Amino acid sequence: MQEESKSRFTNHGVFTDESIRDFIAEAEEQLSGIEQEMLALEEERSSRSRVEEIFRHLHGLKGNTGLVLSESEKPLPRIHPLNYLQTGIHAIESAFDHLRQPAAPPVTDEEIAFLFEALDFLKEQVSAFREGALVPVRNELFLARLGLCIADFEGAVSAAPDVATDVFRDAAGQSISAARAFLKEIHAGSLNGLKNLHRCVGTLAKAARYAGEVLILDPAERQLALVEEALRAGPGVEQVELLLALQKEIESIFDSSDHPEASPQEPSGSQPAADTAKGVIRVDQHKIDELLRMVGQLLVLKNGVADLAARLDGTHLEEGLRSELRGVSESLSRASDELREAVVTLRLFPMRNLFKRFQRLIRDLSISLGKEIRLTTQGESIELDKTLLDQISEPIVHLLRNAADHGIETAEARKALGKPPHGTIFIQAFRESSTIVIEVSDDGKGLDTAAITARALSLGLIDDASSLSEATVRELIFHPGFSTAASVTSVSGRGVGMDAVRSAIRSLRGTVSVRTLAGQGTTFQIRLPASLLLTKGILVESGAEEYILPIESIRDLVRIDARELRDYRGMQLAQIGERTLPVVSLRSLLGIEVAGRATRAVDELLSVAVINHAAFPFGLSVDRFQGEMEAVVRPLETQFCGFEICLGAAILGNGRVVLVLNAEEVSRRVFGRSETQGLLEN
Amino acid sequence: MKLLIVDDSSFARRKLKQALLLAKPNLEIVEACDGEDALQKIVSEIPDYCITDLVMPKMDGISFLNEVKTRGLAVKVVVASADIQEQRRKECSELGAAGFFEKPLTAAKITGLLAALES
Repeated sequence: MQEESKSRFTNHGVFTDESIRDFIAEAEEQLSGIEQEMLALEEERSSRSRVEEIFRHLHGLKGNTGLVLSESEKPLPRIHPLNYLQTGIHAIESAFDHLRQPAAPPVTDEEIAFLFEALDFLKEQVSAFREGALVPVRNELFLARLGLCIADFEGAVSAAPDVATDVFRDAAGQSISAARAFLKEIHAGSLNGLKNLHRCVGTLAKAARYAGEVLILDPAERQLALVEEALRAGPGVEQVELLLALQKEIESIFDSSDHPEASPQEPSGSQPAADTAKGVIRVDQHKIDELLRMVGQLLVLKNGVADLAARLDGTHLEEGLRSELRGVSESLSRASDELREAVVTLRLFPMRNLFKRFQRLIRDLSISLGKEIRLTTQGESIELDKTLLDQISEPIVHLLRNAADHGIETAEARKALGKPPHGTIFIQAFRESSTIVIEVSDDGKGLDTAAITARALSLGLIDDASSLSEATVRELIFHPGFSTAASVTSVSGRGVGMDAVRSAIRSLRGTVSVRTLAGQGTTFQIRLPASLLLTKGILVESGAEEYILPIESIRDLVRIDARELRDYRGMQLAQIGERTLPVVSLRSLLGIEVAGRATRAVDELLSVAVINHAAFPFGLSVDRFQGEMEAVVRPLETQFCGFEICLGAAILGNGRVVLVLNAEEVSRRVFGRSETQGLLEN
Repeated sequence: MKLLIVDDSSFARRKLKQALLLAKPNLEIVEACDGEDALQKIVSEIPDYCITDLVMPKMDGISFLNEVKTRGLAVKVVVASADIQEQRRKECSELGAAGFFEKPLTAAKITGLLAALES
């Protein structure tokens, strides 16, 4: 198996796959628990209970790591991620033991920074273990711990009471700055730096001992002992050299053995090893998918039975039999609905899992951008299909980066505008019938419509800016290759912008739209179907064919008098509710028939579905509404590629196959035509 | 013979269960994820023996032992923990623990642990 060949080095064939998956899934939960507590600790620096929770999670992770290690038949190499994980946790525990004392001082900024660095180190080990990779020998955690000890030592030296320590203090001060410089060198990968740091600490220790004979330098000396201990605990110079050589050797073995036999007999659809941990829910995700597919078949059969019952109802069949069949059909329908509901629920996970990751992202972004940004979230308990949850993360991260980088102003700029110095990014999730809505808002400066228009003109997307509605301008940012970022920053703005976000969301059968208010902020709204495989829809008839319109794309179903249609520059408009909307016939859109009133009776009532397109709702007229139905959508085979107007096909109860329309694509065809003419106003 | 495993890690519980069943296939095993849960399971499942972790949310192992002792619950408890300080060991035995085993539990330790429970 590919999985085995990938993880051969890491696992040495001594762990069972199942135990690895379990371990990794739980380790990820524990790390995410630690991260939550750390973010909270950063806010409430004196909270003992946060510290205790961090220790509890660390303890659990250490215990499980020990358990996995104990299962290995032969000792794993020192550079194995699991060994790093164990020693890393130990280092964090000893570095922070003092925080557990009841009278411990509030956690310092340096300690918080160390904690986050340590967490990243642990995460790296877990993901390295999962992916069967080697971790770099350069042990960041060890270096961070050294840095922390040196800072502590410095603090203790400057707090030493007696004036007579001045000489020592000067000497120590010089040594400390030297130590810092060496630390930087080690960070850059220099072995000399490590040698020099060893020497430097030796000198410091002598000085401290000497000073300690005459003066009470207890805290400073104790801290220095910690520096020495950290140095000893970390890889020594010889060890580092040895490890580097060893790593090279292993990598060369790894390279030569892995690539040539890169699983030629492997079926092409196999999952990479990294995905196995994602798949652990409690049951294997594939099993649930399989179950859901079977439920889909059951739904088809149920529709078939219902259809049969309806047809037999009008026949001369004995009344008793007919009502029995009706009863069975109804019970079957209820039972299969409940089953479907239950299976769909198995795949649902709360947004909380997603939001947790964003807290950390925003924290890191605000530090790297030098802005004060807070993230507030709402709707943590809203549940979303596991696949959707995994895949929506990246587009949202993109939106968050954009909001932090381009939306939120610097604290000074905000103060000058009379805004609070800290910017707020707000993510909320809520449900609207069968649609999950996720909104990402910021209270920053809003989209620069002038810059967008100018950019669109220079790209040749539009010829004339004067007649564009605000809604159209906003839509322009989703155009491929569109980016107005004045400068490319490391955080966002590399030109692969909003169009990537939109296409990612489209592939999930969702939509994204934007609202903005100059100086007040921007809100991106993502709408997703709650489930990927099942869709509720309205069966419509157009021409001689039937189609399904997914319910999440429909705002309203109305009937309008054909005489109320008005021609306006080649489009037909109608008053629907309070708005005047363009009305397009599905037939003409699909090229089944030329649209025109000539074929219609004058007093005909048109069946119009109002489609919820992001910025521009419009009416889609069909011949007839057939009713609401639920179906399992199956993707079309590859030979239908390019047929984007359909999401897929569904099988009806009577066995007929109907196409499920992709409302996004329908909208694009409607507006693709009119936008170029630049005439749309609503 | 019924045994209750108390540990907040489902991974650790599963591993322990596997090892126990390997050593003693006819063992009936129930699980609890913290001290509170364990107390309920002792009442509802009436296990003969119990293996508990110490560091757990809600109610930790020490408080759990304390409750078992003060309520006079008829269950024999051994402690399995990575925390092997002598003081902790003493505390547990004062609270009536029949044994103390250092995690991770290897096959050899499991044998000793079962012996301690059945003695």
